[in-house]
Amino acid sequence: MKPGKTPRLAVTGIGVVSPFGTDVGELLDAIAAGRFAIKDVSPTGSPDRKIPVVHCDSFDATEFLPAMRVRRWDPCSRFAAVSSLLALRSAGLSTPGGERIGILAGTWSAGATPLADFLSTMYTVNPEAAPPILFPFTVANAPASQAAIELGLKGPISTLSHRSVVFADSLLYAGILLADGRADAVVVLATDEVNPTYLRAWDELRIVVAPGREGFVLGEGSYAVVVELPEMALRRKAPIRALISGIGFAHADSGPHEYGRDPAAFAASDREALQRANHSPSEIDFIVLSDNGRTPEAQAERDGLDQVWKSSIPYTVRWKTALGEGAGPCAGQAVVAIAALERGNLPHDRGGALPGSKLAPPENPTVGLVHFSGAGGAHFSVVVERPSESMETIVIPLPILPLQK
Amino acid sequence: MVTGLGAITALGSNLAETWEGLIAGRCGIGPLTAFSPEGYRTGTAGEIKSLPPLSTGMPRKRISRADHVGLVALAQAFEDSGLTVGRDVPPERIGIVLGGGVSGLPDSERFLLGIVSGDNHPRPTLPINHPPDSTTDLAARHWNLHGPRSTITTACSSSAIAIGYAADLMRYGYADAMVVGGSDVVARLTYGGFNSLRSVDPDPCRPFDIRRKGLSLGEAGGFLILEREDAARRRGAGIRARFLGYGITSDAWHMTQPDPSGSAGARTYRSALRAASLEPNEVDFVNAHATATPQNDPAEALAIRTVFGQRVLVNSVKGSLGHTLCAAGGIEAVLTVRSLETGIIPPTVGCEELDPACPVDVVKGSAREAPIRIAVSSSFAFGGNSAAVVFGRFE
Repeated sequence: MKPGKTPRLAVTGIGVVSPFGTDVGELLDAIAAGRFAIKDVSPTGSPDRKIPVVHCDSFDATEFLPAMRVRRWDPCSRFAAVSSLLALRSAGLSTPGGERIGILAGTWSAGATPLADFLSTMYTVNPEAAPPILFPFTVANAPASQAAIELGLKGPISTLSHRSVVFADSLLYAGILLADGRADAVVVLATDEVNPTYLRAWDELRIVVAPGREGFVLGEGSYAVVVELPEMALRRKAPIRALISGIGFAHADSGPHEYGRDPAAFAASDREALQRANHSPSEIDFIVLSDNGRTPEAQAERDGLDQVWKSSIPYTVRWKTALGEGAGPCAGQAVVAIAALERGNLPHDRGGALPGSKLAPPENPTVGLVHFSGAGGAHFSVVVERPSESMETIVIPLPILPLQK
Repeated sequence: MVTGLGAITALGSNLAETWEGLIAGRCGIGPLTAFSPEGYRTGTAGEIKSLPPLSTGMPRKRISRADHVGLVALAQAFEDSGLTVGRDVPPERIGIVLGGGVSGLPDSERFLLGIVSGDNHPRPTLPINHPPDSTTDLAARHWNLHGPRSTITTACSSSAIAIGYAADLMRYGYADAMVVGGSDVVARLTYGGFNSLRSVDPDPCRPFDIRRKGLSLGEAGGFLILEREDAARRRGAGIRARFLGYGITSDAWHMTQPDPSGSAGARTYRSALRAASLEPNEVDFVNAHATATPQNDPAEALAIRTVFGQRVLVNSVKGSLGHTLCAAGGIEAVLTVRSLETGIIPPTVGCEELDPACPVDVVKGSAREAPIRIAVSSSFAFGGNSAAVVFGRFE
C-alpha cells in the first residue's frame, strides 16, 4: 500500500436531488421497488434520434429556495444548492456557521446548458446579443458557488474535476481540510445535468447506450453529504449516520478518454481502502460496483475483485440502472450505500448480482465498499460503515505533519 | 520545496523570455488572432505567439491547444528540476494536481458551431478534450505519474488551489513529489462572456490604474515541481523556493462581484498566513490577482491594506500577460518564486496613475529590487472561490 492517511470521516448529513425526488428514504424505496426515471432525449440537431437518460424532471428548486433567485440558475446550481441545503439540515446545521463550513463539489457537466445557450446566441446572432446572465453559470464552479452564496458557507470552497471518481477525490480533500482545522464541517457533493448538446457528442462517440448498442445511461441530479471529524460530531452531539473509514485510489495506464481495464488497478485501490480502514476483505458485507454497463470495464472490475477476494466475493450491487452514470450518479451510489447502512438493508440490484459473488443481500450490513471508476484510468474505493455503539473507541487522533517553514 | 519551474506566456515561450519581458516592462497583449474579434468590445488578447512544438514521444493525437501548452511548459518544469520519474522518485510517489477550465473548449466550440450551422456531421472527437482534467491525465500518462491525481476547476483560482491541494497530499504522506500548475487558452466563450459582462478593456488592461476599464484575456502555462525537502536535498536538486502554505475561502457574496469592503479577500490572506504560521508583517510582497476591472482592484487593494498594511509591495502581471484564467494561479506562482529568487519585482505594466481607491504600494514604471523573504500570490475567482499561496525564499 502507498503510505498516506487522512482521518475517518463522520457523515452527519445527507441531501439528494434524485430521479425519485429529494427524500433519501423515498430514493431507497424507489430503487428497491425497481422503479426507473428514464426518458428519451433527442441530441441537439438530431430530432429523430432518441437516447435514454435518467432525468430529474420532477424536481422544482423553488420548493426550497426563493424563485426570484433560482429561476436564473443553471440546472446543476439548483441541484447542488438544494442537495446542500438538505444535507446541512439533516446534519442539524440548518443555520450554518459561515466561516467554519466548507463545500467541495465535483461534476462532469455543470455549466453545459448555459454554455450551449450562450454560444448558440453568439453564433446565430452576435456576441453582443449573448445574455450576460448566462456566462457566470458556464463555469464548473457555479454550483458550489451558488450553494455557498445561498447558504452562507464561507469556509474552504473548491470544485474538482476527476471524471466519475470525483466524489471520492473530494472526500479525500475534505478529510485534509477538516484535519487541518480549516473547517468544522464540509459539504461534499457531485452534480450533473443531462444536456442535449453534450449528449450529441456522447452519442456520436458511441459511449452512451442506444438502440442496438451497449453503453451507459447518463444520469442527472446531485448527491451531497456533510462530513465532520467524528470527535467534532460527537462533541456537538450530531447523529453520525455512517463513517467513511478508508479511501484508496489507483490509476491504470489509460488515455485521458479511456476507462481503466486493468484488474490490478481495481484491486490496488480496494486493498488501499481496506488497509486504511483497518478491515480485512472478509469483513466487507457488500461492494457497490462502478460497472456502468460496458462489458470490458465490468470484466476488469470483476477480475480485480477476484484478485482481492478470491472465491469469496461479497454481495455485489450496482444502482446505476436507477441513477445513471456521471459524477453525480456515482456520488449517488455512495449516498445510497450510506443510507442503506443506516436503514439496515440494501436495495436489490435490478441488474443482477455479479456472477461468483454472494447472491443474497447481507442482512443488517455494517461495512461496505464503494467503487468509483472513470476515464483516465482512475479508480477510487471508499469504505463506508455503520458507526459502532461506542464511537469514542474508534476516534484515533491523527498526527498532522507540520507545514514546512 | 519548489525544485522546478516552467512557463509559456504572451511574453515568451519559456520562463527566461517571460521574465526578461516582465522585468523590461513589456506588454504581451496584442491583436487577437485566434478568431475574428468582430462584434466584441475589444480586439486584444495576451496570446502565446510562439508555441514550441511538442517533443518527440509526447502525445499528439487529438490534443487541444491547452494540452499542448501544458505539456510543453510542464516539460520545461521537469527539465528545470532535473527530476526523473523512476530514478529519483518511484512513479507511485509522484502525483499531479492541475487547475483547468477552458481546456479543450475551443474545439468544443467548433463542434457546436457545426451543429448550429446545420452541419449534420461535426467531428464528434472535437469535444473530447473539453473536460478540465484532460491535460492532467495526458501529463500523468506521459510522465508516468502514478501517485495522487486531481484537477481543480474553480475558474481563476483553479491552479492556485491545485498547488494547495497537492501540497496537502504530500503533507499527509500520499506523495513525495507533485506536479502542479495549469494551462489555459483564449476561447470564444470566455472572450464573449467577459465581453457581455462589460468587463473587458478595449486596450491592454491597466491593473490598479485610475483609467482602468477591465481585463484583457490571455493564455499561459505555468507549472511547478514540488518535492519533499529531504528528497530534494538527497538528490542534490536546485531548490528555488519553499512553499509555506495556502489560504482557501469562500466569499459567499456574489457570482461575479467581489465584496467591495475587501473583508472576504482579507479572510483569504489570513487563512494563508495561518496555514503558513506567519504574521502579516513577515510578508514582503503580494503578487496580486488584480484583473484591472473597476470593481476587483479596489476590493483586493483594501484586503491587502487591511491585512498587511501599506508596507508590503504589490504588483500585477496581468498588464503584461493578460488574465490567463485557470492558469493564472500557476503562472503567477511561478513568477512569485522568481521574484523571491532574484529579489526583483516586475512592474505593473499599464499602471501609470495609481487609483486612490487602491491604497497600496504598487510597483509601477520599472522593476524594483527588494530583499523579499516571504511572498504571497493571490487568486480571486468567479463565485468567490478565493485562494492565496505563500512562498518563502530558500536560504
